[in-house]
Amino acid sequence: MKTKYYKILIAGLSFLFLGSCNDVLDKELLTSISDQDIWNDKNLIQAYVNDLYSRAPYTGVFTDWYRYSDEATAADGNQNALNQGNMSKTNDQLGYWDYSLVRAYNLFLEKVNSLQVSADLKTKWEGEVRLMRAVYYFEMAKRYGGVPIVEKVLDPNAPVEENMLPRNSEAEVFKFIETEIDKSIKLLENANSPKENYNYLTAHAYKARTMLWAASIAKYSALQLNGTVGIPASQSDYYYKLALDAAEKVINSNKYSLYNKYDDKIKNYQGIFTEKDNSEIILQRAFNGNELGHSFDNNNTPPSYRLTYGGRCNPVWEMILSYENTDGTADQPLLGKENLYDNAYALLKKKDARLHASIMYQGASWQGGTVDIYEAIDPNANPNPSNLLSNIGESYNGKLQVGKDFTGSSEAITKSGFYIKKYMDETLIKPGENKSSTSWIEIRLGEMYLIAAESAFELGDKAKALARLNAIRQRAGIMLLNENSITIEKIRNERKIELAFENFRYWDLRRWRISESNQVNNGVRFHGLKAVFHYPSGKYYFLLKDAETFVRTFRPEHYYNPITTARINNNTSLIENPNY
Amino acid sequence: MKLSLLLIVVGVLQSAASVYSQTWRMSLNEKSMTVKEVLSRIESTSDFRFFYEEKKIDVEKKVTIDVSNASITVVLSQLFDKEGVEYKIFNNNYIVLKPKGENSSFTMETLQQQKSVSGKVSDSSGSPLPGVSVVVKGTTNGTITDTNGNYSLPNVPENGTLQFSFVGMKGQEVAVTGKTSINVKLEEETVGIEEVVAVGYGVQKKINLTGALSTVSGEKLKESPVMNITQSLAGRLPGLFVKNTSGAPGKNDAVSYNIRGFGTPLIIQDGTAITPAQFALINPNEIESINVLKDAASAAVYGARAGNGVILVTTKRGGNTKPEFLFTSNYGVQSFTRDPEFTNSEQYAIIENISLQNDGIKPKWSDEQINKFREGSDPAYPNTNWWDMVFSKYAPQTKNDLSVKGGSENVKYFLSGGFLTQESQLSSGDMDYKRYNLRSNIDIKLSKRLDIGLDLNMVLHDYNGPTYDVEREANIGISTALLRSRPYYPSEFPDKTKIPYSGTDIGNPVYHSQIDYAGSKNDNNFFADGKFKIAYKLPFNINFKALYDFNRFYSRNKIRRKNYDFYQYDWGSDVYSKFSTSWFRGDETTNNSAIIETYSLAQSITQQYILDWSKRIGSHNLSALGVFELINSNYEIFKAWRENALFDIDYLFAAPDLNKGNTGSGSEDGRIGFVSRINYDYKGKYFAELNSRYDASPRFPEDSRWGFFPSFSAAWRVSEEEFIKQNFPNVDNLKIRASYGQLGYDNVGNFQYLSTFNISSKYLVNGILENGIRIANLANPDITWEKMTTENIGMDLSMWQNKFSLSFDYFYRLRSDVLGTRSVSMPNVVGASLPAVNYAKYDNRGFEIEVGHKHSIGDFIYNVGANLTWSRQKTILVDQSAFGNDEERRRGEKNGKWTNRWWGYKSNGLFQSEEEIRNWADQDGKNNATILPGDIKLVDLNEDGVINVDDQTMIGRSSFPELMFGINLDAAYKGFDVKMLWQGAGQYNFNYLSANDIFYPLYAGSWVWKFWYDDAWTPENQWSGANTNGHWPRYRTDTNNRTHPNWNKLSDYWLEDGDYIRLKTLELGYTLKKPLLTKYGISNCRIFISGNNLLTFSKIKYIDPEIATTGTIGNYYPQTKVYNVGLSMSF
Repeated sequence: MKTKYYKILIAGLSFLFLGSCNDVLDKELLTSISDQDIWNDKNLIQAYVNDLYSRAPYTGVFTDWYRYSDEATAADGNQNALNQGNMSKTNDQLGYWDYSLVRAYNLFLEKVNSLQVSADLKTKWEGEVRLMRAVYYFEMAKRYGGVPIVEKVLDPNAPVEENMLPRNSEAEVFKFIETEIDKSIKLLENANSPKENYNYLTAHAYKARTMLWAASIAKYSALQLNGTVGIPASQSDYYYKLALDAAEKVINSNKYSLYNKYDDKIKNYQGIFTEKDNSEIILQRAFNGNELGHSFDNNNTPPSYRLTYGGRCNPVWEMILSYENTDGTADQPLLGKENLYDNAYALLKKKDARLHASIMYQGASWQGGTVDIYEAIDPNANPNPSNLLSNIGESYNGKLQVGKDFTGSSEAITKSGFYIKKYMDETLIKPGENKSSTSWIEIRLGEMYLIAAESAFELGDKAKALARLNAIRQRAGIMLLNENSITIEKIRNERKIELAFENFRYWDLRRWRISESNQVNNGVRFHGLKAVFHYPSGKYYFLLKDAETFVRTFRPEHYYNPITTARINNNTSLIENPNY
Repeated sequence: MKLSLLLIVVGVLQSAASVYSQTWRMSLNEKSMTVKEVLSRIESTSDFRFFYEEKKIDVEKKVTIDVSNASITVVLSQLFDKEGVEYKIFNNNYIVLKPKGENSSFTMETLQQQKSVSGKVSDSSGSPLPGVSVVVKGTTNGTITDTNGNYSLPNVPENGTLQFSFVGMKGQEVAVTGKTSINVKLEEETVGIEEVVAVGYGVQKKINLTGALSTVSGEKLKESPVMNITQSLAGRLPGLFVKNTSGAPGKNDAVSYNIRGFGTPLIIQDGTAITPAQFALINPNEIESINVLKDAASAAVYGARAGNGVILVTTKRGGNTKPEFLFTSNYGVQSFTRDPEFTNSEQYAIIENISLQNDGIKPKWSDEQINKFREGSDPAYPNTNWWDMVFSKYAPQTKNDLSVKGGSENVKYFLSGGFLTQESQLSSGDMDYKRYNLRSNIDIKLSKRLDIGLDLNMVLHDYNGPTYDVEREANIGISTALLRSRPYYPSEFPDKTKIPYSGTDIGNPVYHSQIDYAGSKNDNNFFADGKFKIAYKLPFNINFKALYDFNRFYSRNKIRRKNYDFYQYDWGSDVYSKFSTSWFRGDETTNNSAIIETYSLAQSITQQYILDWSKRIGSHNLSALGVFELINSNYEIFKAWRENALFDIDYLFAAPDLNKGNTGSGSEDGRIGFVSRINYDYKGKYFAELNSRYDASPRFPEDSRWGFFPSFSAAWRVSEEEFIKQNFPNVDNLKIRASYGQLGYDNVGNFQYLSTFNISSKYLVNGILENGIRIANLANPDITWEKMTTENIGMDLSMWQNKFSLSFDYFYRLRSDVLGTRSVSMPNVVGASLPAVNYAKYDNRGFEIEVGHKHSIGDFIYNVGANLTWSRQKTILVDQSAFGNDEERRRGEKNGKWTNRWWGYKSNGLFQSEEEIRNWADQDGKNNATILPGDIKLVDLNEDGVINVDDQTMIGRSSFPELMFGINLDAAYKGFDVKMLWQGAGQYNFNYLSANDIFYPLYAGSWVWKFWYDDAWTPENQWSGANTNGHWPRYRTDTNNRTHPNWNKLSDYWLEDGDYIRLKTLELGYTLKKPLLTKYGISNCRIFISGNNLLTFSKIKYIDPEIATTGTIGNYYPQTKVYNVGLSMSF
């Protein structure tokens, strides 16, 4: 008997010890890849570069820059620190200070030469990352002026003082950008990349954009803080020349062409932003609307066409007035109860086709229906705006008292009487979050024409400026300018119109140092239109109304963002920008 | 003539004496047992006593007996029928045996005849006890023992009883039953000396404990008619903080609990760790006891996991008893503890008008319209109570359990099964929870030395509900839609198929709570745990034990999302216009209809090898324990979805293979630990215990993954000292305890010692989606666990035969090496954030008191107890940016301050006049241009004429209670019993402003609560008149409320004392009289009614005081009270 129990005991114990000890402490983090594995695997290195592209220093992928400029307001009321002039040294609005990305670029550039891959691939990767780093510094310089230039991977365990790097001057930063882009142009010489990746023409295009900025700063801004911000005025022509040459290089490469597919100017202009991979696009961020999508359509669709949010971007009346009449006349639309129109198109029909392609208004057609933004029904035989019907959900003789695109949650209803159309995908019904598949166009050829026009004009080459500007106007179907009528204001307005809602306007105003003096951007309220349906006549009239409940404020120190107290506390070598 | 010499148990169950011999039953199945053995077996399990003359009856004869549930006559006839032996029963329990036909020398008279009795009294170790008093019960006839412990007492009636008593010893009564010699061993009188409690890797006598441990029995926990064991812990245990934040069915994670205000505790069930989710699944009926190990001394054996304390759960096991079946059935109804009162249409419209008037805007509603709301006859002016539409008043829950427990010398078992259902109060009836529990605990003695055991536990539990929870989850919940609905929107249109717009674009709450419209969510979980155990007795009093545990948790979650359209309707023109479509927010998948399935699997394997040894050398008791433990665990999750699922087929294949996605991941963990414990005591007076664990966790780098966690504790039973015994004879027990030790907490910074890259982005190139990888963090090569150094001083006292007891503990815990980010030490141009490092320090301190009193007066027995715990945490060291000046330091300094305090403005009532406002400090930055009578007066603390951050100060205590207490009262009278538990919390402040939808009137168009109509400061107006005595401040339109100092400057006006006390449990029971039941084989039957959360007293009136203080507050499933009836039967 006894032995039997011993056997059971021993059998039991051996069973218990099976597969024990060995692996108990030998565990891994299963959700990650270890450091050593990365640099020996071509696919993982490519994934590293892909990640850098996924957060490349673009001006913003479908971001809402429109709300800070004189282009539009936003349905949420648009009260924010930038518009109300409250940016302060504790409050860096839309800041761009992420040295972890710089570290990621530097880490790659330090590793790239020792990678066990083909020389072609190494050269291409190095060119891409070098360009990306230069553009990243550009986006920083746009905001802060001079920033510390870090070109190598800093040792986090080094004495703190060693890593307390001061700001380089703004001129040094732009010089760095210039030389780095030049290096990348060489490295990318052979690259024949898809539009989602950089090639040598992308580098030229970026050079045009960045050098134009440097030139403008030199020309329109003053040196302050011993050059930490500002560029010597003497360098402005140098940079305008670089910008012009780079833009011309891209235009003349014939690798891209201005999109000109349809005779219908409205349809044609819309096509630039909705047709994938079209000939005008130089660099894009692509989406498929499934695994990788964005929410631009979801955010901006008029309320009755939306799935979730909707109606956010609301172009203001002042923006609409900036669109020229196609025939070159200067008269503006007539408002008030005396002027009855079939719809808002009738009100705006003289305007540039790009207006009709970029903005939705009362009666605009959309996805097989119309956009109804009217806010009230006027039942009086003689129009009388003080006696209107506007009960949401209720009808007057079978017609809704409030248009279906003026109802819904308050944050989806336009505050200006307009919605955005540019970039909107008419084929996407009930969009939903992250369902949009249109590409974000980071650089298109149109911008190169405008850069060429602006820098040629600043350099005094009117003929060149006129040629480049008229190419854009011709494509838009608007009356061409001549040597007498071309002015810097015309060039700037053309840029405002052609590149509207494409993340340029807020920055252009800052670049030209006119945010402060721009009357619509500072010190007044923006306006919108209230559409009223006059029931007896079946027509609409339009009343001017406030689009915002506050007055915009732009203070001169806001031409630069603040470094902020937090960053200075963190690195006492930094100095704050003027007047903060 | 020889009488049997068996210890006679004097039972209290003498009420049924007259029928005893008829009702008594026994089962016996033995081959070759002597008659004498059979008789003594009967004597040992009954009140029967046998008298016979040994010469005449052959009691050494072997017999075979096989009776089942037989009466005494049946047993005796089987035993003696063929032997020619007769028997006669006297006085129902004296049985005289004699050869057939003979006259017995025993008669009732002789049995009661007086004679002299003598014997010896000794203590438990066998030493003679002099001076023990020996008295014949009910007489003055008595004596005391001599120096050798001997006594002799004449004139003792044969059926008399002797009482032995001695100070410090447990009294004993012995029935004489004809014996002439009675020797007695007296046990030392101590508090529950036999009470044994579970401690880490073993058990200890409660009296020997040196650490801080509190315990509650499963019986107590069963009293609360709740669905989840964690809900019944509140108020039961000193040192345990419990908060139940939701009443939703199946919300097992809604109960948060911690020990002494520390973090998440480690939970050990029968020796191995389980997760909090698994703990919540245990059937209370299976629980023998729950012990909480609070200090380092008791928890150190769990090393690097135990820093926040340990909860030990012990399940029931069988014993050497007859099978005892226990059936319990409960039926309860749940109802909300707080039913909110909302405004009706008229009141809502008036509030909207007043808010506009306060903003100087013309009213939205005309008097005529308001009249229509009041009259309620025009369908275009409805008055909908959405709350009543969405929720019903009551919802049922049931719980049925059956268990059997018993065994023999060699096999012991406890088997249990349980089934519970819980429905929700959603009127749609579409939400419920079901749980099935099975457990089998079996212990087998294979030989004198070898024991094996197998415990199996299985739990199935299923939740079914609409896609949306009631709680706001990610961005939306049924409650969110409900709180944003408005009463003046109709609940139905003439066309019943058109779903009405309820006032929010989220959707209609009535349809949001219906599976048919919103879609469904099913959670199916399976938990299984098996433990195989071996114990072997080695020579030299050494025991070897091994345990092998396998635990697996499998879970499947299926969400079937649907969208529905909702409409507006024009009653005049009979036109419907679609308002919007319901949609989903905050999910990585989609806003659209979809099928989303998630599967996960967690498992862990634990092995333990234990050696223990104990020895007594004179008055020295020594024991030692050594454990080697290995734990391996892993986890996997997989998820897939397809969008635009329009068919009513809830499987992925039925949705288009177009927009879809999937993901999956895993993790693994392990542990090795060496545990040792040495206990020593001297004479049961002085105790010392040394615990340690040498522990390794793979989450940390190789050179810092091993840690040593020691603890030392000691206790002194002062009451064992002679001077106490002599001077304070009423003191039963007085013990002073102290402990000191270090523990770890390793659920932090997993694998941060590795520099790793994550797949963290996607990039589309040439139409192909590629992954991007990104560096996750800088490696922290020095990372390790948090360390907790804990001190505990405690005292236990019990007096007057345990009628009174008191326990007190003071504790202090220093939490060091807490992971924290060093804020200022690296310039950010480096481009990497320094990894969190182990440097920060916090400490906790507090005390616990537990008092108890029990007593019986005749048949009335009662027991009252109370416990209270206070715990606070202070920051000792965290990195802070440099302060510019003293004022910044005043506001920002964290070090040396209590954690978790409300910071804001002091208030001083409401402004009543324009003049008051003019003379008041500028509190809106616009010289009070926006301030009106009825607004909150903020106090200008620094008297600089401006209310700004400089005037902020500490205005309230923490948002979770620092004080917890419980009071229990139990009483029984004859068959009746009552059990009551009050539980409460104190020392915290609830910030009303954290519940936007309730305390910001008109917030995002939300349904205004009635107190805003009744009790807000209102200026003169045509609709409701002025109310300048209102408590709540003047309101404006929503946006202006949000930006007005009343709301955007947090003041103590909005803080409410969270203190509450609630009747957590009340149970009234009646136990049916035994004789009525035994006929049916039922040994005990109790019927009871009980309740949970029946009464609540708190200043927080509008929501439950146990409301969660994180997340979107108020968007929740309210806590419930439960009324329950139940029956428990054992047989």
